[in-house]
Amino acid sequence: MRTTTLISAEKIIAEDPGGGETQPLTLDIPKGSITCLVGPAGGGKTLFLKTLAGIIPPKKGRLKIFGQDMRSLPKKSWASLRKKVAYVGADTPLISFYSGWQNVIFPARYHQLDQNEEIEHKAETLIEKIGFRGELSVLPAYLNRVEAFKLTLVRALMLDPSILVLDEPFKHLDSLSREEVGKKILGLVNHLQLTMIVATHDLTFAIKHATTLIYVDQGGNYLFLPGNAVKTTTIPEVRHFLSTLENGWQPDHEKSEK
Amino acid sequence: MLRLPISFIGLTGHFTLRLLSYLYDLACFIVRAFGEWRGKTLFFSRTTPSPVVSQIIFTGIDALPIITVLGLITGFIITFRLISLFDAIGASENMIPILIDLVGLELGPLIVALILVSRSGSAIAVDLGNMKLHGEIEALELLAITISDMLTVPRMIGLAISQLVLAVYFTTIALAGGIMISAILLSANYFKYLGELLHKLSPALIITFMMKNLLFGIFIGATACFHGLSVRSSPTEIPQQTHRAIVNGLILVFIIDALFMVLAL
Repeated sequence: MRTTTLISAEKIIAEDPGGGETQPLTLDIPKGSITCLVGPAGGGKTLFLKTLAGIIPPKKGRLKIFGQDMRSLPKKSWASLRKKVAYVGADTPLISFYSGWQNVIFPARYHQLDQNEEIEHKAETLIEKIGFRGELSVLPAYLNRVEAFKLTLVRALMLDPSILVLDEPFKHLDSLSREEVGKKILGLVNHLQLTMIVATHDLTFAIKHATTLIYVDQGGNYLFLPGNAVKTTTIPEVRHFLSTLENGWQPDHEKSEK
Repeated sequence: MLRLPISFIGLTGHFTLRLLSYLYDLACFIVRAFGEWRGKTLFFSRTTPSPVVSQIIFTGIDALPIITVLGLITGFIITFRLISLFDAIGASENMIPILIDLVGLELGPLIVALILVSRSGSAIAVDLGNMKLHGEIEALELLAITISDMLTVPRMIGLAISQLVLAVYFTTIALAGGIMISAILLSANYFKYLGELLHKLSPALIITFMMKNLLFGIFIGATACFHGLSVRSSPTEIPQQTHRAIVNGLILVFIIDALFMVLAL
């Protein structure tokens, strides 16, 4: 069976507003895949995420999202692209003057995606699936970070995207919450048949679930297919990165050497 | 010797250029905002209140007590005082047109505008500045929500409607209140002026009143939004931009008022 490529990147170089740029990256992201970007902070993960999500155009190279060349994206297509590619960062805020519930339903209502009853029913289903445990009627300022993040995620999913782009979803979570939120996210990805691109420092999650793992750093970008192939890597900088991680990840062959 | 005059001319030129550049930027902001506006947020449902309605509630309804108090005080200070003066010099026949001109067309809209600039203009600038600083604006854009649709135009429309309605309310209280105080304190004959007030209202007067108030509201809202969204990345920018929103909002209100005066000549 032929897989559909949703995002196709050819030697793309992402640029930050400060003038810094990344090393080139070439990859295809097929439908239903999970692509994880790992690497040291400041290596360019967020820049690549925003570029792959179509938020910032690549400085160089060719990028196609749903077959549309990002260098010639008409202004009118921006809204439709944003609905199809959801981008959620760990620090993406909810709207401060709406309650948790209003935050979840207003984008779908704004875009008139469905009847009010259907929108509310869908919101209830997604909120249940993400395992939200806070109070929906309060303003976001009264929610803890974990619950606020869950609502941010649900709000993005209310627009029926095909691709979910997550930037450091576990950044503010402890190890217990990481596992729980990770499972819930994967449950939603499977339920909604989404393609997911995620930048994370949680290598356990990346190795376990990534169909493609990309090591992103200023020295170069390396692709591992599937994600657990990184465990046997011989690339020195990747090995060094793995050994410095908090959770003590090391390539398999290094473990056996010891 | 020539240094002082030259620097004065230079400063005047610099100030004029800055003002013109600011007015151009603000005009572009308003045109762009209304150009992008699709009216999608005019009628949200009961669970998601419309930003226009929320703005009218905050700017219009919540300001009613202060407007009532100021209207009554103005009625006592200005209307009653003018009626007493006209009575003393025996020129009562010109009193109503002058009262309508002074209190209705000038004082009423200006006092309401001052309250709106200081109360709602500053609140909008702080609100949008905080939203920008905390990434809420970017989050809305990533949800394909137009900022003009969701935040700026509803605030401008809400302020314009509130300014108009509050100016009508203020003027009514200031004029009718002043006449009633005069009737109670000076002579019961003054009650007849209440009826005269309505007879002296011409369509041109009503249109001028409406145009002036709507423009005041739009520009107060636009100035507040413009400065609120000018906040970039530092919390210290919020008080700076709020201060600018208030000062520039006041200057614009007086400029618009002066323009109406010039057009009426």
